[in-house]
Amino acid sequence: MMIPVILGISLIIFTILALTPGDPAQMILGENASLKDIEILREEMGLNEHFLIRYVKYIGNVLRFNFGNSYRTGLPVISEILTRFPNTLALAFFGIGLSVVIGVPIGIASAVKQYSIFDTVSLGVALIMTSIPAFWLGLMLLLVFSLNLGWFPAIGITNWKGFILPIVTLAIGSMAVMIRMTRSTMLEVIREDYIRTARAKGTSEGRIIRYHALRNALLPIITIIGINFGLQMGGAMICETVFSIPGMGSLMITSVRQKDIPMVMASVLFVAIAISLINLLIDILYATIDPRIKSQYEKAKR
Amino acid sequence: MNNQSITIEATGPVMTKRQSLFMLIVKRYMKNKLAVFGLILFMILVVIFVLGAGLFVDYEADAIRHNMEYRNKPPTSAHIFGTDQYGRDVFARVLYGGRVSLFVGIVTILLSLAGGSLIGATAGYFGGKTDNILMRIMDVFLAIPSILLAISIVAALGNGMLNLMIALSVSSVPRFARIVRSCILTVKGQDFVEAARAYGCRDRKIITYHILPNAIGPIIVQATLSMSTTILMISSLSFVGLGLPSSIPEWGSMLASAKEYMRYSPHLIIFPGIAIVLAVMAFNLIGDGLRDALDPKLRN
Amino acid sequence: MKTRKVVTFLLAVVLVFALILSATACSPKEEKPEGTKGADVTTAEGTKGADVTTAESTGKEDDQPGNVKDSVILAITGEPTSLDSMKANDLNTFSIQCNLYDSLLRQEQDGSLVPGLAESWEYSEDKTEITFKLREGVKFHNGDTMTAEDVVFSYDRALASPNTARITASMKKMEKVDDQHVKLTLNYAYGPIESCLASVNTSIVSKAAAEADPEGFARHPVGTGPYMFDSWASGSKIVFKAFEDYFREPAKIKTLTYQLVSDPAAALIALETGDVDMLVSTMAADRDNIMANKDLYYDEISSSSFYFVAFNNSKGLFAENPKLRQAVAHAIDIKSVVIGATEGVGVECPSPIPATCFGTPKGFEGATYDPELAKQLMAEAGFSDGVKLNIRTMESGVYSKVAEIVAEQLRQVGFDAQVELMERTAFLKDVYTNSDYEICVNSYTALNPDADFIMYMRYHSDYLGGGNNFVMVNNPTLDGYLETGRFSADDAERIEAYRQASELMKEEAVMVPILSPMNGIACRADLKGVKASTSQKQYVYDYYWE
Repeated sequence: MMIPVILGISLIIFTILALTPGDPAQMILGENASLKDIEILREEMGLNEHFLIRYVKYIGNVLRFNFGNSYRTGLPVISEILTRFPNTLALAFFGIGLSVVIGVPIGIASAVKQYSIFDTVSLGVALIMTSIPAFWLGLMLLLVFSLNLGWFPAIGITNWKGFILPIVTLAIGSMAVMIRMTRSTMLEVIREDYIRTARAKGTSEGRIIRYHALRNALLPIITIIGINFGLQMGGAMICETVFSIPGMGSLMITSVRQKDIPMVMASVLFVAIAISLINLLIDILYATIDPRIKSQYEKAKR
Repeated sequence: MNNQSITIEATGPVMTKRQSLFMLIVKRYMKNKLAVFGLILFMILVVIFVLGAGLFVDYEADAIRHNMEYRNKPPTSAHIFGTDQYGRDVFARVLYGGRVSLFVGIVTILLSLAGGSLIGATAGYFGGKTDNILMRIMDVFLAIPSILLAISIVAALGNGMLNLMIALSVSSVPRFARIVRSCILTVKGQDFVEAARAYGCRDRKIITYHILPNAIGPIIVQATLSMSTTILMISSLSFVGLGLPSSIPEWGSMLASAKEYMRYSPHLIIFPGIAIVLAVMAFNLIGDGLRDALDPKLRN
Repeated sequence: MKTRKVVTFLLAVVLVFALILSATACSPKEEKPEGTKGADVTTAEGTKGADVTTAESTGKEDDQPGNVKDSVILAITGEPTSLDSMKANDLNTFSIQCNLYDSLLRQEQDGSLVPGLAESWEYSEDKTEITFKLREGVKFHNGDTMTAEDVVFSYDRALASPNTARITASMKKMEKVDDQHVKLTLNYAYGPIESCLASVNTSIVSKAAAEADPEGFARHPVGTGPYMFDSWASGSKIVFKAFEDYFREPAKIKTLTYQLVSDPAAALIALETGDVDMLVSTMAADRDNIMANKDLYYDEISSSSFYFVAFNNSKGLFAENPKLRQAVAHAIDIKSVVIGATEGVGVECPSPIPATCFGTPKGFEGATYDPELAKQLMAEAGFSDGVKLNIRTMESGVYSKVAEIVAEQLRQVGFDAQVELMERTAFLKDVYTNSDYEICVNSYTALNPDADFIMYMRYHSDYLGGGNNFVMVNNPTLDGYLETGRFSADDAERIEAYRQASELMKEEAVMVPILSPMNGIACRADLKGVKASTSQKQYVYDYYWE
């Protein structure tokens, strides 16, 4: 299931790139190149072949772990990606982590205290947070916390402090979703019959929330985390530009605009694979946590 | 699971019940304070952007003409939001920017609705292999981070309003396709459809009288929510320079040009930023309110 | 208790992830001494056992009182295309490479040309041959001694490379005369030849190193310059170390780091907080702020480049209607453009030769700003109802601003002008190489500050099209002036020829020169020896901390 999706993504992006204006050979040789030199390089690079043929050749190479050389630097694409990928991954991961650590408890408290002031305020804050453009937020944080207060460095990764502002920017974006989803899932769960039963049994409210409600709400929450991870990878792109972090996002944006096809293709593949793997992990986690699904698998085994 | 999933419930032949169902939904919507707030906010914004723009400020003189002596001036009584780097009135540009965002957003939604309906209807109606293939393709598009997809398409087609709308609508098509498809599937399974077909009712009538009314609700919810994402994406793309040309007032490109003056003229980024937040918030509130109003599970 | 199991499991996953990620996220900052998998960091071979210290010096860590710093971090907005001298053809790359290499001659900060790797040189009678006496005992970064073979090799590859055309066009070949002497033969006597001999493109590289690894030379360069290559963490930073066996005194700054900061606003913040020590180029909007900051030093100089509006002189609307070209020329208010596009910091450029170049006509005046005249000319040309214009230009910074402002000014006189922002390579292909445009905004840079570089190949009919004379002007009289400018050995004669060329181009409104931006640099106030340069060249050898 994963593989056709990844192949499909690569085909779509490759097609789009093949249609873009801008000639990689021109770009490599620069402004002063003569038409003749450009044409020679195009032949060498195989740019004149039909794009479907080029695509098939590309996939063939990928299967042999050859992702090609960047049009811009001439170096293997894979080395640049391996340098940058951990940065984006770290950003997305800690961004989600922070939003979960803060957002989920707030969501739970909101659901438990529905319609209270706390609930209204947290919903309001969540609402505003979804409406703020990430790049604007990043700029404002940079301005206030880096320049005016000097608490954090302005450039991304010279030390761990540099990661804080971008992570906060990302976290705020997904925190809102966490809060709202946790809240609505908890609300649904709280209304279920088995909760009423537990109350009738005399179990304390706290234990109900922690033991019964939360565990059942956990599943949709984990799913949201999985989906959000994909969004975070996308959101990290803008953050990387604002905070000058060398990651996949800035790599993809510059590569697309420079028509560095091998770089774009490899970046897209990596990101797609990463997202798919995370979703796979989520599914596995599901099976571990949810005894119903677990028993399905066990039944099937017999 | 899609956090924007909407539950569809077909309620059988709906002709006579449509009237009261509609009123029921409206009543439930009105009970939701936040949703009502969103609606009011939206109406205020529409009035200001669509009508106010023509009345209070002049397009040519305020929003377009360069005036180098009055560059980057902070807010004054003459220019309540100040002036930008070419001396243009920021208030005027924010107002006209609202028109542009609304216009581009609506056309984008319509485009994706058209595309999505076509695909979803085909998938739902023909079922089987067609359905499978189409939905897999939709999955692929959903798996690409939408901003990357939009950047690639704009990079391919070039800048410009039409290209921007195409790029943005492509990202929203899968969601609409899914909704339309599930509407059709839900109705397809109902007995009354078999019955209707049995006595010769044409497919077109089935679509008009049974599928559409049930589909409209979720589609409108999705449209409103997509509108808010679209507005955010328009400004994000304009921010990285892939949106509209900078002479056309648009909030995102205003923020992009303002970035280098940010420290010295913060008014340049505050007001367009607030405009984006308000517009997106309004659509989010309305969309959420509609979704809650339509959600059969919350009926108690 | 199931909940506890779940929670512990999740915590474990989180911890494991965090450990993995913090380990991997840390690695791009540190350097791997040798034996890379070709993966993230490339380091120099043959550092002769010199210890590779982590160049991770943030400004704050070194700032111990009483301890004179010896490292400099420069913020750059874009990575160089390559560190190979024969591949460089943009200012950013030159400015970085000039620290790695030396050429036969050297150009000092004040523009004068002095002996570099050549101790002395002699011209032949007809000035088409130059014989150089090479300096002895010059070492390459890998320990080899420079020989005449290296010089011949370097020139061979420079001449063969398409990227160096502008510098090497006049050169025919370089030959070894004996171990101490080489002879360069030119295609024609060329006035500005000496500045070409000082260019990065003609620097002397190690034949052994380049032949051993031609592709990798771009990332493992070996030259004779005051700095040697240490490492390049792609997308992040490039590190050079002072070369202790340099043929002059070793540089005072021992570690040179180029830190990539793509956002200029963030770069300035980094400079103010001390995270970087210098910005190679500043934004015009920040000028006042930087000058007011006691901790910073600011310097600026008018650049040897200029922005202009160009017409397609051979095909289309403006080719057929010279009066329309004149109308555009008179509709442009250059002062407004200078204010709006460069915050008033740039300078007007009335002729096609920037003020910093030799040959610029002093006191020259461009077309007057006269909107009424412009309207009149439009009517005379038969376009009193206006005409649709599509101004094509590149999407970055000053280009788009200049185009915006010009478009608005053209609208004021009745043109229906729109700006089309194009991505750089698309622009280079369509407009610059194929001349597929009617009107556009572009810029030229004189890589060496001499009028010939910015005139001959741009406007001479021998170079029509193909990325050289992209304005497609074909005018024999103009050709004549340009030829005089190039081949004459008499300075006064050259200056007069360029004046006449500028006058002719103004009459014909071949294009409309607008402004030269100011090259501004900013650095920490205690970093001395820093000067702005017309070509954005930053020769760190001259810097030192106080």
